[in-house]
Order: sequence, then C-alpha cells, then structure tokens
Amino acid sequence: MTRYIVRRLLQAIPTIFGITIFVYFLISLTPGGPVETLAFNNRMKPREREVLKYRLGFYDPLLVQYMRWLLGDDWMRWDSDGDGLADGAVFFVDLYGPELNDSGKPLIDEATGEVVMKPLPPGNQYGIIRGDFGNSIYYKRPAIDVLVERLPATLELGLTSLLVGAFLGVVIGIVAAVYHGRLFDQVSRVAAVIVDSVPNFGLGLLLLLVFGSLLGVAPLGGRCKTTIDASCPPLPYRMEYLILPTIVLAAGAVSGYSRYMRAEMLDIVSQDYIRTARAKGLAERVLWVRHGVRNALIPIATFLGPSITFLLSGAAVTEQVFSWPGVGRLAVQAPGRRDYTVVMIVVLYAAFANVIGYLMSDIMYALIDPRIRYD
Amino acid sequence: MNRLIRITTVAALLFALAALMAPVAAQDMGSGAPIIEPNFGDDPTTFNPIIANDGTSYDVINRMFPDFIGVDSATVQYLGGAKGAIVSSWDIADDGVTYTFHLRDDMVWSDGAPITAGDVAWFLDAVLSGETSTPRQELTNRVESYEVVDDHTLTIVFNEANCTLIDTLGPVYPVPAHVYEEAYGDDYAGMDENDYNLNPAVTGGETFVFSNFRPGEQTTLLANSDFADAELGAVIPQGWVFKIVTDQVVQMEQFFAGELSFVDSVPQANRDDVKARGAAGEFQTFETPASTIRFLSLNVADPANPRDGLDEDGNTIDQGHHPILGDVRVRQALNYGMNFDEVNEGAFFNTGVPVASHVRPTDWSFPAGLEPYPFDPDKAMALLDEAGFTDSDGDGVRECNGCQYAEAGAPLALSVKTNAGNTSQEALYTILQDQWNELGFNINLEFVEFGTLVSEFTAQTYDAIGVFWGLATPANPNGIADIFLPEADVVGAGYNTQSYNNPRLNQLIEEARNLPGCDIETRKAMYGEAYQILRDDSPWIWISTGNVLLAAQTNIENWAPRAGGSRWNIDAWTIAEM
Repeated sequence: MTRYIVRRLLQAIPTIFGITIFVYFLISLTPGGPVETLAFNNRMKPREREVLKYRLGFYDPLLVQYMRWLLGDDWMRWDSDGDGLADGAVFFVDLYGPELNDSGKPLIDEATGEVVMKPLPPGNQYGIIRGDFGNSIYYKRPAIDVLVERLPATLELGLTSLLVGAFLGVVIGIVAAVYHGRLFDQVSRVAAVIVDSVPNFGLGLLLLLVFGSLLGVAPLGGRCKTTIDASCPPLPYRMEYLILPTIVLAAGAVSGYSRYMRAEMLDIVSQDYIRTARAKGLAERVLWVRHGVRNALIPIATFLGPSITFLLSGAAVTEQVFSWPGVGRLAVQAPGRRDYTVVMIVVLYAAFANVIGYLMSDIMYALIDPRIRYD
Repeated sequence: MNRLIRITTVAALLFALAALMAPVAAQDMGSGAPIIEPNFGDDPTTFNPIIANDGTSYDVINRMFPDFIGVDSATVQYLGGAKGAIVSSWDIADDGVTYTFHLRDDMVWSDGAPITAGDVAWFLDAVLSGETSTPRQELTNRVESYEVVDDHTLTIVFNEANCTLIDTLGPVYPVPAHVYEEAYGDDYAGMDENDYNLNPAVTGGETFVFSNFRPGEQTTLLANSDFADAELGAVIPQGWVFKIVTDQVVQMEQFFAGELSFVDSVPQANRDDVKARGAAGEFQTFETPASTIRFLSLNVADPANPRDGLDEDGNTIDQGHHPILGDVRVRQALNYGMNFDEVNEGAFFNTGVPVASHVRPTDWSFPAGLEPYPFDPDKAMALLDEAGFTDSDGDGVRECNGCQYAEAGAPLALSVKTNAGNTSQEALYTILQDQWNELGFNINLEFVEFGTLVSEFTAQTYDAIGVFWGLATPANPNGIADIFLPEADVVGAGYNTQSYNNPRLNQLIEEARNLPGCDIETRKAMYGEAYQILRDDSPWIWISTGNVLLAAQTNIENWAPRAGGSRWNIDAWTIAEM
C-alpha cells in the first residue's frame, strides 16, 4: 500500500505541473491586469501605473513570467558587486529597463534620440520549486502566508461538514432503505429534492435570517464573537458559529449520500447472495448491517474523493454569506483582482487537495472491499 | 422495539444538532465599550502609510496615525491645527514654492517618543527614493527638496508654484522614524515584504493605537491614552474593531441586532426602512452627500485606432472621430433622452441626485446655475435629425443619412458596457437602454467583469462605458485635468480614455491651477466655465451622485456626523447600556 501511495503521489506531479501551466497562461491572457484593477483611481498618474507594471514584470514575455514564478529569477538577473543593481543577466531577460516620462512611455534622450535606459535591480525570487510562492500583488506579502492564514477556518468548516454530511447521509440512506416505501423513506426523498433545489447562497441567507435574526438563537455569521481579543477562542467555546454554515455545506452531502446509499442498499439486498443468506436464516439486522451496509459503502467511497477536494478547497459561497475567513473567499476574490500569485497558490492547493481526495478514496476502497489490493 | 431504538437514535442525533444552537449571548455594550464597525470589503493590506493603496488600509491607518495636514470636519477643507493633524499652520514664501510648516509639539507615539518633523521627513525620504511601491509618486513629481529646520518646523520646496500644492501633501503621514529606521532601514525596495507592515509596534497620534489583526476577520485598535485632541479629555471607547462582514444583507441584520455600532453607508434597499425606524427612535440617522459619482464615458475618438493625446514633443495627435459619438449633437441627444426620474426610481430607490459636472454641488468650485440636461426627448430627436441620423426604413433604428463621421446607411448602434454584478449599475443601464432605444438608437448593453471592463476602458477601444468613481476629499477641482486633458490621454495608462481635447478647457484648467495668488473666486469662475464646457460638450454623461445614509445605535452618545463623515469625534463616542 505504501508503495502504491508513493507511486500515486509521484504520478500526480506532472498533472499538477500541467495544471499550473494551463491556469497561469489562462489568467495571464485574461483582459486587464492587477495594475489596472487595483489602481483604478484617477488621482494616479499614467507614469505611476506604468512604473508598477514594470516593477511587477508584466512587460516580460509570458514564458519568462511563468519561469520566474516556477524557477525564480535570482539566476536570471544578478548583482555580483553588491551595489543593489544587476550587472549580469541571462540572454532572455533585459539587464536595463527604460526610464519613463510623465506619460509612462520610455523617455527619449533628445540629443541621441535613443531611449534612456537604467540598470534594473537583480532578481530576488526563488520560484515555487524552491518554496517561494511569490508575493501577493494585492496583499503585499507572501502568497503562502495569505493561504495558510485561511486554512484553519476552511479545514474546520470543511471537515465538520464532511463528517456530518457523510454520517447523516449514510444513516438516513440505510434507514430509508430498510423502511423503503414507508413514511421515513418518502419524507427523506422529498427532503433531499428540496435541499438539492435550494442553492447554498439562498439556504445560507435563509438560515441566517430565521435562526440568527428572527429567532436570535444563532450568530449572524463570523467565526467567533467579536471582541478586542487577538484570536478566536478554541473551537469547543464557539461551536454555535459552526452550526449554520455546517448545515448549509452538509445539506447537499446528506441528500446525495442518502439517496445513493438507499439505492445501493436496495440493489444489494436484492442480490442472490443476500437471498441465500436470508434463506439460511441469517438475522435481518446482521443481513442489513454486515452484508448490506458494507457492500453499499464501496461505491460511496468513490464520492468521498471529490467531497474531500471540495470541502478542503473551501466553499466560496457559504464563506461569503457567513463571513467565514476561509480559502474559498480568497479563491473568489483573487482572480477578480488579477492577483496572479494568490490564484496560483490556491490552484496548487486545490490540485493537491484533489490528489489527496482521490487517493483517500482509493485507500478507503481497499479498506472496505477485500477484493481490492494495491500491492 | 428495534424500530423504536432506531427512530430514537435518529431523533437524538437531530436533537443534539439542535441543542448545539445554544442562544448566543447578546452583545452588551457598556460605557467605554469598543466601537464595532463593519468592513464590507477585505483585509487591510498594510498598516504602513507609505505603501498603503486601498481604502480598507486607509480606514485603519487614519484611526492610528496622525495626518500631516488635517481636514476640518465641518467644511471638509484643509486646515492648520485640524484635529488629529501634526501641522498647526504653514507659511508660503514670496517665491510661491517654499512652504514652511509649523508642527505641534504635543503629539507622541505610543512608546512616548514625540512626533516630530523628522517623522515626516522619513515618510518623504522613503517615497521620494522611488524604490517603494508607494502610489504617491505624485510627490516625486512635485517636491524639489525638503529640510527639517527643527523638531517642529519643516520646509518643503516644490518645483513650481501652483494652487494645488497642499492637495499634493494630503496623503503625507508622519511615521515613527526611530522605529521605521530599525524595522526597514534603507531597504525601501524591500518594504512590501517586511513583516512589520502588519505588526506595527508603535503607532499613535490619533484616537487609537494598533492592537491586533485577524486575517479574514477583523482589525482591532485600542484607545490611545495619549491622544492630545480627545474631545472629553480622554478617548472614551475601549477600542475600535473593524469587522469583516462580506454580505450586505447580513451586515444590516447584524446592525439591527445591535452587533454593529454604526453603519457608514446603509444599502439602498434598506434606506427607507432604516429612515423610518430612525424617525421612530430605533436608530440615529444622518444623511450626507456621497463621495462617488456615476458617469458614462463617451469615446469621441476612433475606437479602432486608439492613440495617445500628445506626441513626445507635446504636440497633439489627431484622434480621428468616433463614427457616432464624434458628433457632439449625438452626445447631447443622449443627455436630453435620459429621464432621470425614471432612472432614479428604478435604479436608485429615489436616492440619486442628478449632476451636471465632476463636482458635488457642495464643493467650493461648483458654479451656481450649472444644471443637468432636462429630459426632452423631442429635442433629443431633433438633434439626431440635425446630425444626419434618421430612420429611413421605418424599423425604429436611425441610420446615417448625411451624418458627419459614420458611413452612409450605418445604423445608430452603440455598445454600452458596465460592470457586471453591481445591481444598481445593471438596472441603471437597462433603463437607459430602453430610453435611448426610444429615440432611435440601437443600444447593445453588456455587463462585463470589472477587470475586463477597466482593460477596455484604458485601451480606448469602447463606444461607451459606465462606471462610478470616488471623488477626492477634500474636493480638488483640478482632478478633471487627469480625465479631460490630452496629457491624460495615454492608451493603456491614462484616464482621458474618451480622447477628449478642447483647447479652451485645457487653458482654463492650466490657468486655474497656476493662478498667481490663487484667488478663490477667480479660480471658481475659471472652473465654472470649464464645467460648463464639459457639460455642453459632454465627453461624459454625468448621471448621478447621491446621499449616503449613516446610521448608529441609539445608545451611542456624542454620535454627531458632519459633512466630512461621522468618525471625526469617535474618541468621544460613549456607548451606554441599553
């Protein structure tokens, strides 16, 4: 199993690499850049905007920009005499950049008619290969810090929702199968359709307005009570803040898992080996639990992969409604700002979560289904 | 029995879930309790005033750093000795370029060090180095030199005399030089990456001092016990929490529930309700002119061939003509064809105020008698007829039949774009589309993602783009230079994206800026004529500004908003038990 896991992780590297190329070029080709978006302010002069563009390297060829993100640029342009200015560069980047006039255009020397050039600073990025994910253009600090700050909130909400959703979904599915055609089955089916029909945004707002505003029994968003303290208290002291967003996120999972589990259970109990077991006098409880549930859980494990990916990557809409400080909100805001470094680190994280999610699915397969062996 | 156990188990699980919804303790706000303000945005990006570039960061910085030159909260004008500002007065030498600033001697940082001219100089050193990512490069273009005369006197020499130099110094802040020296040294280029930006150890000189920052959640400041300008002798609120609330509906529900102390801009959808409840004594409310303006930029130049306004020698470059909007009569027809009452009701919940220029009616340069275009569809159609756009085939859309710049037979079709996701903008332009189509236009309306929209705007490849913009506070009438002069017509970087060029306007703006003596009445007359030209030529359709509604809980004593906003006396806000 260990070898299988290692092999799968190694196989994921080219996949993730391919994803980064695709996303980097996609977002770079999107109209508008961070300077236009962040400096949409008529009090900022054309020269200032252009200086920012040069500083951020947006006039370099796209491939060079990608290489800088991937491999860094300390080896592209270097300072060997320690004066703070580059004195050497590889052939595909410039050692000098243009001075800009008030219009942000290259300044022309009136005497020579040539562009006035100035030495550029040396590269100072190491690239993701060496653990440097770059600075967020918007937040002005390392993109990895911005992501890591949001992870605890996302993991907290994601894991809670996953556990609640999967547990309740499976239990409801089993009960509905055992009592198929009866009241519980009918009610759970109608409830699943209703829950599936309401978008997360609507459900979240509805719950907030009813339980938070009207009844006053739940907080109106946030992760903990607003105080002047430097951090939220530990989770057990603020569980009430987790309930409504968990319900919103888990609702879809409950309805999906319950319907699938019910269908699987009914399919399995109509199999010959179940009939044989029943004919041999096996107790109904043993029959349902030992044979029915265990076999029905095998295809359910397939769902867990994408569920884990989804929940670890953050739920943008739910986080937005509940002012939940997670990765999802970050993932939505970053493309709009053209904050390329944050977009890329979120994509990397989501890709990694995807790999982990599907790997866990496969591992669970092996644990649940004795026919499957990976070694 | 088994069934009973199972049902009981399921019921118990559901009950356990419900039990988790324990009643939340109500926010109890006693005297001295912290002020909780919603932040309908994102995290501040930095607490370093040198590199700050977003409104959220400034909201925090303004609470914990003193201004250099302050703004009077009643008149919204720069004023020596204004509350929370270090400059007590200034003198202008006869040369018109040397300004001597006299600084107060009673302000201290949170570590007890006095705030001095050296702290202002450190800010200027960093900005003028040209190595930081500061958006205040304007200072580099204007400041020739500066000198710390003594701890409380600073001289700044500008490179030319004009009437807007004090505005140039608006974004200057003193920073604690003794701490910044240690934290940043002379590595201005590396300032962005410095951890100190979000963990300032020393702040002060204003109402609060920095306490903590919780990313994605809130920023907290604590009362500054050394605040020299406290209205009641000391800062009353224990602190100020700037709390992120990312949904407007939720924000208002939190306010109604008493979880937020005040709301600085009640959403349009809630205004009537809040006003009514305010009148009934449930909240305190205050209405003041908004600092944003909605406009539709009309590209007067050839969108197929965008060019800069000036060449390298400063000569104007021919811009060509927009086939339809190049004719001023068409632009005027669009103005006459706008039924503002209908727009106001349908898009702004009747909170909009029609405008005719780039200044608020409350600004000093606003000329009396400058009126928005009246709604006059007959006149609009007459102008279109006169411009050579008539409906010759009876399909309801006019075509060019002798028009100035379009090909003969070309329909009177325009693409109008605005930012997607903003409901009032979408409603506004949907209504305008109908109104203008009634005149014989064929308006193709598109809602475009903001970044893409800005990209098209600056690329100058559009017909008409509608956005809204914040206005400078204090008002700076010279701001129109950055929008309508040919110097600002720089493809991809300037904001004269409509490529408008009117020599008389250029002359008026230049003269008003450089008027010897800066007589306010003379300048007002000059700007008045400039606004009239812009109104008549209509490179923009100025659509609306509006009033913002501020609301606060009734238990906040001393909440007394002025034209400049509500926070001017936040140090005196006393939150009583409800």
